[in-house]
Amino acid sequence: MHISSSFNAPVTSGINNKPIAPIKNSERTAEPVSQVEQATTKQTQPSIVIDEQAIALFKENEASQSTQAQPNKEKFSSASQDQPSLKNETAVASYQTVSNLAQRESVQQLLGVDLFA
Amino acid sequence: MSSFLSNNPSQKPSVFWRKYHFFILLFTAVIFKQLPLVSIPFNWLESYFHEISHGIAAIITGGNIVRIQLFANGAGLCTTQGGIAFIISFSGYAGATLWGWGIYKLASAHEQIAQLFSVLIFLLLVSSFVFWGRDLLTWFILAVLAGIFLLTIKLKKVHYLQRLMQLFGLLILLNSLFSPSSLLDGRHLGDGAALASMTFVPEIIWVLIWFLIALLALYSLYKTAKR
Repeated sequence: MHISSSFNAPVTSGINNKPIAPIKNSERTAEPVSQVEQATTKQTQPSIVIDEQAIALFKENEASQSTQAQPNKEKFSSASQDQPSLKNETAVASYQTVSNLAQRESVQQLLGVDLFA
Repeated sequence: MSSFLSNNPSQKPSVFWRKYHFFILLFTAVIFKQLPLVSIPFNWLESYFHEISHGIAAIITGGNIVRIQLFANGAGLCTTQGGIAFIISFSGYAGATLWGWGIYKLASAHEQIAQLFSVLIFLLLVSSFVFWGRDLLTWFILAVLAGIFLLTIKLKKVHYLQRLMQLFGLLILLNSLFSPSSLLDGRHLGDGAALASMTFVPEIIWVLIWFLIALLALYSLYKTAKR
């Protein structure tokens, strides 16, 4: 019996009182939560530290990457226009100079001849 | 024909031959020159001796022959390098006259000499083919001329070779007698024009000189034949 009386009394009272109070509490507790969030956000913003060294390193890397990429880009563009590079042109010109030496000599010999009919 | 060319003094044609063989050969050469197809190889022969004379003159005066070109119409071209241009220019027609005169003279001297000289000309033609011919037409003409001389060498009766060589000599001489006149065409081209520009002596004088040399050579052969 004791059990049952004790069971009823608190239940009814508990039912009637509890739903209002905790809701209110919860509403109130909600405010501090938002404040905490705000506080945490306020705390994280100042926590981003701009590392000058890292930025400098990044910029340096970016610059080196761009210089490495530039000749390839040039090569690609010249290849698309079907034009050999200056280096290749010089090599071909020097090669042709050697091959033209014999031809030039034969022309010089031809110019030095006489024709008799 | 054999009795006609015979050396036996007892036969009448032989006496006739001995007396008039130069004129007979000269007349035959003139006839050959008038024949349309037969005259072609003989024109090549004269043209070859003309060009080889230019070449030999170049070699003698310190130059060298680069190339010899012969054409079907009897024209020719000798390309030389170095040497004395005046002598090389002059020796074309004069040299051909000398060749004609020499061939006739040597053929008249002795049958064996005629044969030997024929072999030498054949070797000269072969050398020209190998060293100085550069085109198909020249090679063909040189091969035909070499073939003619090879046939004369192969003749069983050397006596006929002697007559043939004399005929070739006269044909070359006749060509070199009349061909300089072709230079007087008003175009200022050829050896006469080259000599005129070198010496300021008019082209006609050079043509006359060549004509006189050929005439003298012909007269010399006539005198030799009369003996």
